[in-house]
Amino acid sequence: MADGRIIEKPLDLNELVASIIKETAEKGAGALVLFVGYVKGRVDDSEVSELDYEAYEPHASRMLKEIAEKYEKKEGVLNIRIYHRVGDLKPGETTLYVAVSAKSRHQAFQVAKEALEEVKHRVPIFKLEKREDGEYWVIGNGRRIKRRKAPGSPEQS
Amino acid sequence: MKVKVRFFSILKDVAGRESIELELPEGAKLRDLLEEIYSLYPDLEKISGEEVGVIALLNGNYGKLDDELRDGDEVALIPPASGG
Repeated sequence: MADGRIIEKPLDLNELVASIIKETAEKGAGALVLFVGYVKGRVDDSEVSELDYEAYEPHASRMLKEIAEKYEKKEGVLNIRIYHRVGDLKPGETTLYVAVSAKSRHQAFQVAKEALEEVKHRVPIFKLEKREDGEYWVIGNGRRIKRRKAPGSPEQS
Repeated sequence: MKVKVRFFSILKDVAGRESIELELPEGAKLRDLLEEIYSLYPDLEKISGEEVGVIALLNGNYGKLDDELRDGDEVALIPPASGG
């Protein structure tokens, strides 16, 4: 069954894959595509110390589930799960998981790509990148704006 | 009627706060709320025209300027999402 939500702790990927295969093999699935996003340790030649994720809950979780349910209805798809982490994550930590099982690899790859793009563009999740050269709000598809001040705090240099 | 407005990401920094409660006349639309917000926080209007698109979610769904507001509604002002 399709599932999607905001989570705080990392997922056990072996467990996720095993669970999906167990649920879908007997229904005719033969392919599973798993996308895993993780925090970059370097951006624009600057070292990243942390990526702080914030989600507008409960709406972000609801939208993730809606997207999973929508794409599970696509031809050949038997199961899709979408989980996005929040909190202060360090380089190398996993952030987003999109798993799609389908009857064919073509369907699995295509649907994983489409669902991933919709998650990135539609779900109200935001990130603040903390780097050696300052803090940057990440806006939309990778645009970065240097943070000028924090609420209630004095102007930052 | 009272409507709660929440700010996210860079918009929280620009407004200098996480949320505010507005008193609006009955029949007010999302467009009216934005006008009120921009008059309270001119920097938000400035940034929306120059650097970042300001998007309004009404009770968690992408809203339209003509959407009518009701007492107890929650409007979230967000920049383009950046999940992933």
